[in-house]
Amino acid sequence: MKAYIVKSLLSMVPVLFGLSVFVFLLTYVVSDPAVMYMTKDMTPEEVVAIRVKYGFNQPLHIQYLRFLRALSRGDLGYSKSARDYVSHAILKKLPATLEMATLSLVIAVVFGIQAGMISAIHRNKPIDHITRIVALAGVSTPIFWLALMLLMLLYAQLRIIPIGRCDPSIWPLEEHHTNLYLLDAVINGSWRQFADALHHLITPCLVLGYFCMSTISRMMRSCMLEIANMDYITTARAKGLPEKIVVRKHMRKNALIPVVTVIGLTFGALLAGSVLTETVFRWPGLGAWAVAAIKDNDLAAIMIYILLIALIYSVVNLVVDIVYGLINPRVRY
Amino acid sequence: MKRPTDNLLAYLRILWRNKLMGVGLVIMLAFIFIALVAPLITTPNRPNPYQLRRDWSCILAPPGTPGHVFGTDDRGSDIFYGIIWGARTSIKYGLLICISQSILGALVGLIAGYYQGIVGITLMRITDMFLSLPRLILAMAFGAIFGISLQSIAFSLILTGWTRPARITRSAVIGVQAEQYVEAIKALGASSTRILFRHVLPNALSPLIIQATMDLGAIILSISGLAFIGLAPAGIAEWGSMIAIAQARLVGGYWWTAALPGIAIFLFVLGANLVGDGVRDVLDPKLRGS
Repeated sequence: MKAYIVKSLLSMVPVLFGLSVFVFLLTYVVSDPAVMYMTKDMTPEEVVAIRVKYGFNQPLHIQYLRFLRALSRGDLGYSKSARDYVSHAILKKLPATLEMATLSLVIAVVFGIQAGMISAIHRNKPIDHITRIVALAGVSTPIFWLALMLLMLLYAQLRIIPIGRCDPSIWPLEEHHTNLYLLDAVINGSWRQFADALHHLITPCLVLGYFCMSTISRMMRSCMLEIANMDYITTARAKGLPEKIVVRKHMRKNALIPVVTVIGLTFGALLAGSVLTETVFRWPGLGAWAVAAIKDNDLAAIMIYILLIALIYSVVNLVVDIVYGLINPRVRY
Repeated sequence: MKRPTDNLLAYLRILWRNKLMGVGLVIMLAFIFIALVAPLITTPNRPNPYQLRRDWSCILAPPGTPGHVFGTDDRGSDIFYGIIWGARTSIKYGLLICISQSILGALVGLIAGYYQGIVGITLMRITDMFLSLPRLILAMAFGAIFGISLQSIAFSLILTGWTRPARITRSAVIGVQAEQYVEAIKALGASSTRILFRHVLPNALSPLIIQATMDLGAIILSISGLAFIGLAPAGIAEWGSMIAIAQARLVGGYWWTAALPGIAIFLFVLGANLVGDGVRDVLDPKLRGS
């Protein structure tokens, strides 16, 4: 098991290396990175001086190594769109996205697995048809549109949900310790803050969670149905085991194995979906920042965003692989 | 003896039984029909029919206004016109992306599966690299490079979408190569190209088609999502960018500006997903009969 984890960690290295080269080259494809430091009234001599000062006159591979060194020092440049240093902006925006993604994933996994199971057990009964229609609608709905319609109805018309992350009147600035607002509220010991954070969080999470839930429940249903035809299920029933045990111990446990992989893939959909939901709900997270960065041609932010997402995604996939080994006794490393 | 029509009859029977797929087909055909007759039921804008006409004398007209069945947005563009011509945009780019990424993926998969040495390994590492990023996010990066246009959305989605078809083809190719008949053809002296395209590819085709039809809905969603965040030019007949315009008017109850294009996306993607599920049921022998 240890050897397997080490091996998986090592296999992340070439992927991340490739991505860092890609992201580095991106700055050259889009425009000349030296332009960031120039102003309109500079003389040609000054322009050359800038190139020499920041090392833009050196060969590409030397510049790439400098880029890596800067990355490892945590010197990530300045983001136009966030009007802040990238390293500072990440500390604020990453927790915002993580908080939303985690809660959405919890909603999606809990309801998705349950819905898929119920659907499979009551195959072709009304409850199965309803669940399947709800799930099919979930994978067919444009998530940004659902979010927008909810905002138009619940925020603009009925005024029962807020937008943004919190109500500044009950959140003094110095009380954001971790920038995970639910956790901050617990640290501050304030019920009002907790309720406020949850109130802001719940609608985007339900939208995002519904979208991801649909994929999980569809997968869970088809896995359960495939397993229901297996001989060992017939055997279990023939032994006289109660149906509850057959479903829980024999079917659910085995159906979960492929579903865990899907949950890992769903995390990618979650990160992509968060770009759209954050934009609509004015959620100050990584996704909304990336959209603003693309509009502003803010290269520093785009580069870091891609690297960060790749890193998160790879780590999640590693965790999925490990969990896969833990719940599937047939896989032994 | 089995007649060649038997297979076809069996497929048709499955189609008949699978009513949901029929519903999906009807929805898709309806959209294709609308797209085809678009110039007949609306007067095309000149010079570019895909650019919505602005009419400042008639902004935010509610649905049912004479001349504007579905109302207008805050630039006076007719929503009905946008939805009709948006169907053309979606079908055109959806199919273009879906087919191109499948062909590109199939080629990469064929090569990686057939030449399993250094070439295959390198290709699969590159595939892994692309797979290690959520598709929409990579497409955002490419969109940032290639500028704001529907072509660059298409290009970036193709460039990020070939990975799954590539993996599917590769595993099918590896599976087929172990079969005795391939060895027999090799012994007869057939060329690599002949083996690949005449004997190996046809066997990889049905999982590829399943994947492609299942992907179509997701592709349409990605196009509209990318257009929504601003990677498509403003004011064109594309459902996602129409919703982006509506987003600016959140307050005021102008629901139709966002709701109607969104329903169009939803119906179209629903149709594509129903057909995708149906095609999987028909072509995937594992699920047949269950």
